[in-house]
Amino acid sequence: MGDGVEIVDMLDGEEKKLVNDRISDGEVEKNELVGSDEEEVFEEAIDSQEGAKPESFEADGLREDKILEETAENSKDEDDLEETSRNERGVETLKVNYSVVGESHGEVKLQHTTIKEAESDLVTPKMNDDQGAACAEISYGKIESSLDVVENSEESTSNFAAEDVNLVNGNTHSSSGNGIVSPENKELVGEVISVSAWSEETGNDGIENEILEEKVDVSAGMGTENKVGEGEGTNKNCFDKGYICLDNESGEKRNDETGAEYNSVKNASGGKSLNDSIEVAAGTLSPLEKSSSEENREIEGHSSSGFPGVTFREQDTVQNSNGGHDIQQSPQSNKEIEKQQDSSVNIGPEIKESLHVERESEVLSSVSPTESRSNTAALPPARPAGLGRAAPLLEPAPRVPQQPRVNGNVSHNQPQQAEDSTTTETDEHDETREKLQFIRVKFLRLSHRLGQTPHNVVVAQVLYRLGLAEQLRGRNGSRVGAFSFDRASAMAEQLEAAGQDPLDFSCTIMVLGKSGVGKSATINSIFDELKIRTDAFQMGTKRVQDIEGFVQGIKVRVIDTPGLLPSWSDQHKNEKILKSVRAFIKKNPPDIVLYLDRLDMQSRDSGDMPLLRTITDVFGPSIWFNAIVGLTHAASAPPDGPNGTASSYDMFVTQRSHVIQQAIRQAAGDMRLMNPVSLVENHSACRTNRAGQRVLPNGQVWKPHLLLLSFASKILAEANALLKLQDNIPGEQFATRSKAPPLPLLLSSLLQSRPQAKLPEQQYDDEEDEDDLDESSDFDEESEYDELPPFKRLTKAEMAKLSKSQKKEYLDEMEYREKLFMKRQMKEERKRRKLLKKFAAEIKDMPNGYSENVEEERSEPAAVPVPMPDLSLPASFDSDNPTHRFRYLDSSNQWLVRPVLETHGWDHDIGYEGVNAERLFVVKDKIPVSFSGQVTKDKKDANVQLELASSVKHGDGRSTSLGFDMQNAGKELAYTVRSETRFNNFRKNKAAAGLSVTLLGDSVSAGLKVEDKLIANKRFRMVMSGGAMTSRGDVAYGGTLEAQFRDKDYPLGRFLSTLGLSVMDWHGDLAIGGNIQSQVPIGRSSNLIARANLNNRGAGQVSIRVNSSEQLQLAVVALVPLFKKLLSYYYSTEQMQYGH
Amino acid sequence: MAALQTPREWIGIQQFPPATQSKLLEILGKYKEEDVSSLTVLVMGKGGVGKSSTVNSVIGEKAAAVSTFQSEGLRPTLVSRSRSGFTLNIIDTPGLIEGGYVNDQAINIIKRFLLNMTIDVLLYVDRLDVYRVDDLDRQVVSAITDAFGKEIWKKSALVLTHAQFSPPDGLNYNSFVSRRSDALLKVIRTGAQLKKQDMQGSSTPIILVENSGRCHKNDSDEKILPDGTSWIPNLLNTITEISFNGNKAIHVDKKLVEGPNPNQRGKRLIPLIFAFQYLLVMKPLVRAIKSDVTRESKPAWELRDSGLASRRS
Repeated sequence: MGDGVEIVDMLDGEEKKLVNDRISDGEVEKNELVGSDEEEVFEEAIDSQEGAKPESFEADGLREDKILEETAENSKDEDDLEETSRNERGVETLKVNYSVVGESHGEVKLQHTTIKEAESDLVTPKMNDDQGAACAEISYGKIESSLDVVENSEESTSNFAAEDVNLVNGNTHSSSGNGIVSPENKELVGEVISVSAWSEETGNDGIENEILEEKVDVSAGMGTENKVGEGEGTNKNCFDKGYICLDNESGEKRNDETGAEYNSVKNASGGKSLNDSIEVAAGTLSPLEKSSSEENREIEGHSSSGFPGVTFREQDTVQNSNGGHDIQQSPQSNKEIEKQQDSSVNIGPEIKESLHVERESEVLSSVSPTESRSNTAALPPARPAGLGRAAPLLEPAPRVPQQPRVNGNVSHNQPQQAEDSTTTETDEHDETREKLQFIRVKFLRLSHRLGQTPHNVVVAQVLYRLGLAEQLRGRNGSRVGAFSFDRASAMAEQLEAAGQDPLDFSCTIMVLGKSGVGKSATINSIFDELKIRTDAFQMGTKRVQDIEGFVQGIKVRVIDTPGLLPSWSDQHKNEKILKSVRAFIKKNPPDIVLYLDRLDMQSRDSGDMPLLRTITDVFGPSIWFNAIVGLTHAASAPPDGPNGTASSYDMFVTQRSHVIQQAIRQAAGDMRLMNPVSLVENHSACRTNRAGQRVLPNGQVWKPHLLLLSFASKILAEANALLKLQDNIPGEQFATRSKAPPLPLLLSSLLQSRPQAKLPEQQYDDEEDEDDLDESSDFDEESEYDELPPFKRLTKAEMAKLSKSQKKEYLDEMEYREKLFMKRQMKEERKRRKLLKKFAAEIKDMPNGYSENVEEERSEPAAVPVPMPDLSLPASFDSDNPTHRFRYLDSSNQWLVRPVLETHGWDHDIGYEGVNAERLFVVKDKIPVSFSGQVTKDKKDANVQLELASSVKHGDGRSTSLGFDMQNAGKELAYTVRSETRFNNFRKNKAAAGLSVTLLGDSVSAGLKVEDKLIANKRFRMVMSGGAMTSRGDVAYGGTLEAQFRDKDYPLGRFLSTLGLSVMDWHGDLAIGGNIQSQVPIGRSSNLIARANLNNRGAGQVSIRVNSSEQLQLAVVALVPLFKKLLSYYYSTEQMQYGH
Repeated sequence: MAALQTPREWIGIQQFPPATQSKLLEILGKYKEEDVSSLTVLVMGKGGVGKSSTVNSVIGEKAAAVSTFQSEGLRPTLVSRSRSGFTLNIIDTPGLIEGGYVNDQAINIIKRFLLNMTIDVLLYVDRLDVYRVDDLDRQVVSAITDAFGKEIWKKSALVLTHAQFSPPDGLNYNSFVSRRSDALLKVIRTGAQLKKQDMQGSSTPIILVENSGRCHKNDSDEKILPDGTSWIPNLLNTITEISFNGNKAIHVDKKLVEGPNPNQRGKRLIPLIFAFQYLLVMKPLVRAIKSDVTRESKPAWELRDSGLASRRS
């Protein structure tokens, strides 16, 4: 007993230290300084890697969990709690007694069958809380059972319910007291107590918050089931935190809060209820968890019977910590203890039985955990699973996102369905989970070898992240809770103890850093031997080398690199060095990069920036994602603060790491990076602890910590690879985001109706086809022109003599005649072309020898006419206008090369943006291939645009065009292959269907379109097209409609109206746009062009343009009121919009 | 300018332990004997090596702002303290390195600040506990040389801060110090492009400094180095020695600040070059052209035309 107290004392001291640590951490956070010690840093690093807001994520889980609005703070608390609870678990599972398990196997089989019901019933909690503290689970099970009773007899009431439950608790304690007391266990007890007390202290806020909320909920008095569930949740939570003796206390709490419901327990169960409840309790234990829970019970037994002093002490701590909140509870809880001990005397045998039950199920589970789980799940639940919802609170919140919702939504009449569905989903992930479990075991073994207990924050964080990752992966299956830390821990223990199973783990660390910071020395320290010769004054390492060795039986490979130089002028040397490093690591890349710098060097003025940037340039920013910052010379004393007194070591380390982290962030260009920091001290005079390990001024043993950080990164990378979580590395995340192809853009380019490539002699075919429509009707007009009386044009002098009316008449007459003349010319041209065509067709039909001759004759002129497009010159001459400055010759070359001019550039700018080249080939006299390419370059970026199109005519009315496009899209090139087939079978209706495939970056998108062209008559035509584009499961739909209404004889009559509509749907985001354009001739020499467009977001544009060849300045004035009107209209609508 | 302000009384000296005080006063007495009323010390070096801390330690009060992680702006600060008629001016300069480069702007500011002052002693500060020298050190040294001329190194001392540390394995303290200082002196020699014989006359003294509050102290409460010397009097003593070592103090005048005027360079050569051009370039050219003109054979039509023209007119 004396021993026990001593141990407790000792551990108390430790605990205080721990608490202090926590507090200092808190301070640091307040100061907005990041990461006072590595644990904190690591945490944040994880946070930052997790994405924008991991806490919100947790909060989500909570919300779903309780259907209560939780604040972010709350979730943070939860996080804390979770950490502590993990620590508890770590402690309690240090020693697992396996022998007991085997023995009790035979006896209990029968009982197992009897409690099947209960077991299956409690699948839910089991799944969710197997991470929770074992003791909490025991009592939880009991409460569950009593609640079970509550449900069965809702009406009944009893005042003794509370005592009943507590008695049950007491029973368990005493029963486990029958276990054997061993010195080992003593120690355990001590440790368990200290940790639990600590966790109670740290986690207080969280508990309080939750309890309060639960209270509210329960007192609101809704469905019994829900309330019970939540009440239970509270209890559970309490167990979770101060779990050893807290169960008494929380029992009371529950009584206070949910008294009404619990009152019924006693009545329903009566004498039998005790037994029942115990059985159920046994069933509750998750198969994966049992060993530890049992162990725990044993421990507790010792504590209550063997070391009463210890128990009371612990009780005190709990009370102290909770005293502020529930003072009236403390006397009661004392009573409970008494009761508990009383009952231990009374109800021994019964409990034994229940223990057997537990052991039995445990054996089952250890044989095949998956099987047993599915077995139990398949059984029909005896009561609504709604109670299961209480369980999640024990877990770190994020792990149970689905379950509560299921329970909340589904009424308690059909819980089985929910159960089943979740079960099947779980099975799918079993294999992955098994693998993950191996990783976990591996990591625990590693940390064990490094002498780190699972309550090391790094270890806890890694385990938490593994759990989180698993949960993210298995989001649909709510059973991801099968974390089974304890099993992993037990397995790790066993494997380590056996020492025969070789650890399948090796870690490659690459060391980078400035010259002389101690890279080689650090490597020597890691292996604890002189692997590399170091020299203080010379460049020790001249080339990249590979050092392999074993640290605590773990294979570690370290890549030592030559030192880098900080000066800008030396960066090319650095580059050389780093390139050799890159070549070296190509075949065997490192898992971790250790960037070393000296702790006691104040690299300010961004002195390391050149160096860091060079590293980033050579290796890419991803090198920093898996980098650890090592600060050598960590034992050096911090410099004097501003007031002359020495600043604290922790503060110094924090600031220094902050500086380096910030520099790395800048160099990597990713502000979310948070590299964990590890301290290193290679000096032989460094303080060591008894085991000969070097200890830093803050009491940290650095080497295991450094290695643990490295291993943790590797483990997490392994887990990521296993779970294929994409969002864990920020770099990857960015990459995937940027690569989403701009579907709407591609689609709209696909929908664009393109003219088909044509043979030179067929250049005007299309128009002809269309104009065929009403050719016959033109004849009378044609003759009309010939019938007109002769007309003599007047000279200017003659014109001046005419009176006004005469002038008008003359002009009218002239216009009419001009029109007719032009019409006739067009007709003749058309006729001529037709004749040519006919002629060509005839030639083809002729015998071979003859046709060749003619072909030759004909092909020559066909090759020559390269249409020379002329730039439209501006109305006035201006030497600054590039159109005037750059004229080019019309060469007879088949290649048409033109400059791309920028007309809207700055004055006196060169105005020359790029070059455009075009050419039309004819392959085999049949297939036209057109090529056009354009290269433009401005100050920022160069654009390439290349288009290759050809078309094949097959049959009479069908033609297929093939095209290849290449153009810049952002920073990447988009390659598009498209093909389109046109059907010209009807005169009035032409249909086309097309396909296109675009490769942009590394994503391929495919599109399909259908187009229909309807020509109603000479004046009206309409083009409709619709299409879809898909890429990576993402689909965009779009359609366009274009209608054109034009003058009867279009090229002459200038009236033209078009209406365009387009619809685009992408991601459920519908965009509709329309535009209308009308061109109306006013009088003889003026044109009015009005254009308006509008989209469904309310943005639009109206433009009116009048051009005139006569001087009509005054007429412009007439537009003023029009504009005014439009403006006022526009403003009024705008105001209306704002008003809404 | 800053030099014009009346120097404050050196109160900080009283804050030293009596043993140090007496030593310091003894040194100050030496100046009195030599009839020197003021001494200007320029402190230069890379950023973060402890220049300002050294100044503070010497003065005995917090005269220059020090912070571990931030550098103070680009302006040098002049700290002058007078004690019984003798004025000690210490000019603390900002770190010369920024982002891997020597900060030319900072050097220019320092130069302008020092206009019309005389530098008696230059203290080049670096850390003792750094193992390597790199190109940056050389650049700093050559920047200083460019700014003030080679001669300044004859009036300089190498100050090594963080002197209280235990050298890495296998080295004793003294040999470490000598190797470190040798390395730095070599850098200074190459950076300042000093020839061997330049350095022979006066070897740059080494001063070890420990500014930390954790500095060990001896029985009489003096701050001492690991080798047992009390470093503050030692520092002042060395400064005194340098100031009397016979080499000329560096006076920073306009010429030094602004550098040589390119317009003035080679002015005297102008007439010479002119004469050269006239006699050797222009004359032959003119001669060649004239002879060419006389030798010219005109085509027939031109002769006819000119003949016509002459006839007409």
